[in-house]
Amino acid sequence: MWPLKSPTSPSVPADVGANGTARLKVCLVSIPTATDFEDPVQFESEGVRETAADIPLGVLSLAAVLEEIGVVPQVVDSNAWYIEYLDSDARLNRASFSQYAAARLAALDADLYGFSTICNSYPVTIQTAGHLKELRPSAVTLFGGPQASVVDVATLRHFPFVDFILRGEADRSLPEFVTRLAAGLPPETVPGITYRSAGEPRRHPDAPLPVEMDALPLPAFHLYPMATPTRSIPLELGRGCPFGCTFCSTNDFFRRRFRLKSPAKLIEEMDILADRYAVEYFDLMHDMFTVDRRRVATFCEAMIESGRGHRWGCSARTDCVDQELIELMARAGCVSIFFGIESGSPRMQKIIDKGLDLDESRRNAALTTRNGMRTTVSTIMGFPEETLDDVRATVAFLAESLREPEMVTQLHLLAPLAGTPLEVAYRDRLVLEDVYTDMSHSGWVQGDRERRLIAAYPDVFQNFYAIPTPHLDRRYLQELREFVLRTTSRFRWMLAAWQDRCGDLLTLYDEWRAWSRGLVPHQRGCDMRRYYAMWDFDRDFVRFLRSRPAAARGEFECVLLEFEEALLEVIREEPYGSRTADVKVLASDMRLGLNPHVYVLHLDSDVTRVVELLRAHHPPDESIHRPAIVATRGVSEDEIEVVRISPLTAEFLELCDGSLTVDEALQRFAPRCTPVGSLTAWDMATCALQRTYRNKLVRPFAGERGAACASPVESMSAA
Amino acid sequence: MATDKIGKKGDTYGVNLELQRELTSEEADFVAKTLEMTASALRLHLKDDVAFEKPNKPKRPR
Repeated sequence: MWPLKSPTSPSVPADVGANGTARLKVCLVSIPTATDFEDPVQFESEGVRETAADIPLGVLSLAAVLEEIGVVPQVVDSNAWYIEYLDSDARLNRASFSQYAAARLAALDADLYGFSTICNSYPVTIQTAGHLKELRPSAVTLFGGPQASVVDVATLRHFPFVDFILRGEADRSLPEFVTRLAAGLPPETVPGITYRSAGEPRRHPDAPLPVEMDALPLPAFHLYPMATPTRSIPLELGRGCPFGCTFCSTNDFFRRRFRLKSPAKLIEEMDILADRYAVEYFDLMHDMFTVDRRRVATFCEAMIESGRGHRWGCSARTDCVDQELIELMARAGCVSIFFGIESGSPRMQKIIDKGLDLDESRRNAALTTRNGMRTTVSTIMGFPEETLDDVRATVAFLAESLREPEMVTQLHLLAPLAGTPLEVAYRDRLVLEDVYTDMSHSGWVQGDRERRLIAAYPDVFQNFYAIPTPHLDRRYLQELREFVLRTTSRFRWMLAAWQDRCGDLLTLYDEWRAWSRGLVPHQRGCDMRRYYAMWDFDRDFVRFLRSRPAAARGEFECVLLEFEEALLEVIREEPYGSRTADVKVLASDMRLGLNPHVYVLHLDSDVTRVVELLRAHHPPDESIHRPAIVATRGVSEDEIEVVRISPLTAEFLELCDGSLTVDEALQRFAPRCTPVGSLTAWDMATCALQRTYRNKLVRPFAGERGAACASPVESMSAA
Repeated sequence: MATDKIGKKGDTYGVNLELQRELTSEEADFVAKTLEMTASALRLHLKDDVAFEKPNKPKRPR
């Protein structure tokens, strides 16, 4: 498969010797998390761009411990390189990203290349190291991180261009490795190293766990091209999870010993970073932060006492929080929390050794949202023992969560992560098929090179294989995931209404699947995933809902369907990225248009009332049947919000079609307004302008009559 | 609404959004009612003719 060469002992660089570490050129390569996304539609999406901008905490933590011994490594941002690759001549010349990255790495002329690894991008990392070794045979290639740590022996056995693997947490072992390499000493005695001896992989015993988290230096963010201000920054709270869920790889890498930084240390780090990068949000990393309630409370109290008002998020188990703790966390600045629920089936909770009480999970997840935290509930399907009823329960759990507007739902397809109890138990029965799991590959399609590599080395790339599911069709599950992903973000309240009435969202999916058999491309693979990400699906889904017998539709669903149909009727393409600049003074000769994504809908029923009732767990009542006018408005680049407006507001918005100036619109609108007290009709018209502008519904612009969409918004500021 | 302000008829030079006087509470109530704009919890993903949700990812890379 790979162009194998005889394994050779890596050479210590000729110009490095007993003089110490200073002359050793070290390059640390971050994980290429964006390389799953080749399709331009995906790559240009906000979600993928955010993922590509993730700061590589692991590599920067290791860079910091190297700086302590006098080595300043070069840190490579693989995702930034991938973005450059997409527009490069190399790509046009059919070079792979691995070849492109290897050429750039070789040009850095380092003596030691350290690659951080995770399961998703392991094929890319392997290929990059292979190409690099061809270009720089004398350089040492070192792997570390979660994936290489558990497939170390197989990696060294199959890929001779990987010289060493440092397993587990390398905060102490990497400096020792570099020191020995710089001194010209063999690194085979470094704790936690996997190396070759006489061509065969050998493992030195594990390195002891770094116990004192406070002794670790601040990650070397200064070596990374950080933006200032930085919207979000990851920071480590601690490590280790005492639980032993069968699917989870955390225990393989960070072990089960719970460790936590002291509140003083963490707050000191947050203060430094906030001051240096104007950080808005800290993504606090820990495998199971909330397991020690007392220490969490101490941390929160220290955060409150510090008075800095840092905003942060963390992950937790729903059985490790309660109302008092949630309220305390909220006061301490926690605005985001991630709960791994895994399954909505009590039976599966036991089988996978998660052991959550799902009623408690529902309660506590709802509590976090009501305390202002953006809450993610994450689930997985595709366990080998799982039945359709278990999946039904999981989907129902998610559907019930949709009533909380700040709840984010996730539904993953299981991947057998290497070294987990599940993977070990099923290692001999794994199958390679074309049903991708998002836990391993988030793109729509995986390249042929990667697929061939995965097929050739199952003991290295287990996560791309599947555990057989005798009770479930995995294609059904894969499409279900896409269906849930799209419908929860696009038709959230329709799903909530369905769940409210039927209690079984899976029946809706089954009906849809039968109805759409000729529409969904092959109901599999890349085309299927692309279909569910496009408007085509939205339109088809609304048609499907309309095609169902009226008698089979609940009152909430009727109102929501009317809204969806009205929206699809008026929606049209808009330019991307049109934003309204803040202005204080509007020139009267500016023109007035609607902002992108603003549509006014006159409905026979009140869709906003439906949402209010669903949120409050109230049944339908008369109020939903009153005629209502709503407007949509953009709240982010890819999300709109519905606003209930009065008939008078709607009249004003209808005047804002780009043809009238501010003065003309006010002149026409004022006669329709009723004065009250000392408030004149003109005052009312001005209020309408102010309020619609401040609510991001209208935009004034300088330009020719009727040229609303083409006018650069920037001209407003100048005006 | 009590902090909302109103402008007055501009001539050729414009309408100032920070002008003049604050509304009385009676006026503010009237404006709020007749020019209602009430945000709802109804939000949906919508990005022109194509959309892509953020990839589902676990909290910590694996």
